[in-house]
Amino acid sequence: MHAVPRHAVVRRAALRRAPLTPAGLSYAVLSEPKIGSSKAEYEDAWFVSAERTGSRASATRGCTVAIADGASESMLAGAWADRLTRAVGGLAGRELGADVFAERICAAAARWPAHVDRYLRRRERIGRPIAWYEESKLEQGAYATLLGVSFRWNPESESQLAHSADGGLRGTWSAAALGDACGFHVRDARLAEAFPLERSADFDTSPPLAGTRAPDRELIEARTVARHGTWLPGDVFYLATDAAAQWFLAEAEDGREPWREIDEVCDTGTPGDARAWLDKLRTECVMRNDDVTIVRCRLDANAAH
Amino acid sequence: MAYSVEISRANPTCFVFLLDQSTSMEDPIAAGGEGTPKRKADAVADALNRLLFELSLKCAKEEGVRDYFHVAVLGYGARIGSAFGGELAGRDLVPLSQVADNPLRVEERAKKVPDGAGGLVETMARFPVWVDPVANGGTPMTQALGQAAALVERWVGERPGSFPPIVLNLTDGESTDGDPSEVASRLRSLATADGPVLVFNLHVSAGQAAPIVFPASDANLPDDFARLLFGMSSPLPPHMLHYATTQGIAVSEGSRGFVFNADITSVVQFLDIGTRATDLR
Repeated sequence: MHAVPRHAVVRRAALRRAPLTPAGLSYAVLSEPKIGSSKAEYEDAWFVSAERTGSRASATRGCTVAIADGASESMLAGAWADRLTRAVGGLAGRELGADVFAERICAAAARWPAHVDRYLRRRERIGRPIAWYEESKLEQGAYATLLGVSFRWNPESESQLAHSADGGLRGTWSAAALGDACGFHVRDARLAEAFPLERSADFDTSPPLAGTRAPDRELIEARTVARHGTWLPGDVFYLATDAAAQWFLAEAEDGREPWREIDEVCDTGTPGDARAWLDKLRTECVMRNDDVTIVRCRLDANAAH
Repeated sequence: MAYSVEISRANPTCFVFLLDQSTSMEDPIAAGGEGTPKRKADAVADALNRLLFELSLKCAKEEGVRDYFHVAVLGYGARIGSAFGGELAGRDLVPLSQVADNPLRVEERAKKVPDGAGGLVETMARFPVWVDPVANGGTPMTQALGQAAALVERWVGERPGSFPPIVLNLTDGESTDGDPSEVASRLRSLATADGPVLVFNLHVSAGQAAPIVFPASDANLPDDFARLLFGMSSPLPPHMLHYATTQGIAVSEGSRGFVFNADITSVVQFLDIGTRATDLR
């Protein structure tokens, strides 16, 4: 049966908790513009979609989560980040590799000129035709980093579903990333894997970016970092855009457990608490002042049933 | 670490451009290719217009140009003062959004862009002009640097936590009011908490020497004017060196913000205001 994606989309929420399915992955989102920017100027994006083969929630077989960070130096960067997360996040659990990832980016880029045309028409309509600098800037295209992670469970084929040593069920995950939005796999209170960057010193202001202007599919594939693995019930994945990801890695390098702070805000905090927590980190220069998006994906013990 | 403060609308920095408008700027620069050699006055006016174009573009977003920078353009020749015209006439430090919105005029110019099939196609693009070439009078560079120092001193006093101001002098180096080294040194000694003021120089010359970009020593510079301007220029901070290297610009430790008969627009790209928008390579 053809999958019918269920999209759970809320943008610009400071804190959003949402169980995607009654039995499966649950996620929480922290998102906040940089200090000094308005909510309308937030240029990160996130998107989650799950595959369903029937009306019962327990039939969910896969889920994809995507985050993106629009490059500050480009115009319409937030809109481009949003389209990228829909393009990849909409995979709804399909395995993610560099080939699929590049295909989705190129497809989104192919649709981009129509978006720009609509934008230009709207500006004309509201009596604000674009200025010379916008004309030149739009020609330069929009850019964003992008990370997608797909989770699979309850597969039809027994070969895809293995039993862990303790007899529990587990599933698989696959990820693809272009740039410095990072994924962190935490198991048993330990950082099991970080991707695509592994050290806080690896961040700079020129990460590889997905652009709208004549993207080269082969080059995107070559620059994409792909990972895959298995997950166990209780595992948690954190997807974070660059400033939060760099903070996360720096904390882990110093022997701390940054995921605990995120969990505390996600589990007990209000949107105001989330904002206050991020503002504190940023004003203390522990975290770079930038838009922040963190999606926590918790794979519950009953996820595979 | 110096030069690490975020440049933002809440904490902008300033750019002071000094534009040599003296009579000696009537001379042609070294012929670099086909056609009639450009006058030095044309070269510096064109360089300044391109710098303002790139700076505006860098900070342009949907709602307009963000005021990450405040900009002054001081001309020096028969008179010293703001080289802005039109709506900005007579003003010194102007928020970048106002600079972008108030050029003297916007010209239509032909430019070549990729045609998507590996070739180039000519298209028309809007190009703003803020200053026209002027070549008149002496070269009071020392006084002009003094006025820049006054502006910068005011800025660092009012915004001691900002990224250090940048002073960029576009000239043929032939100062007629004494040795500008001392006042340049005073400028470089001004500082915010994030580091000393950066002084850069673009030298346009009639000399036939090859273009030189961000040299680390004055050993290969063609004349005394070039050596003077090199000596007045600040070393590029480490993050600028790093970025220049990633862009394939040949720099080394000790490279200074000095360019001889070459494009200096790249300094705009050296400044961090967030994630850079660049194609995959």
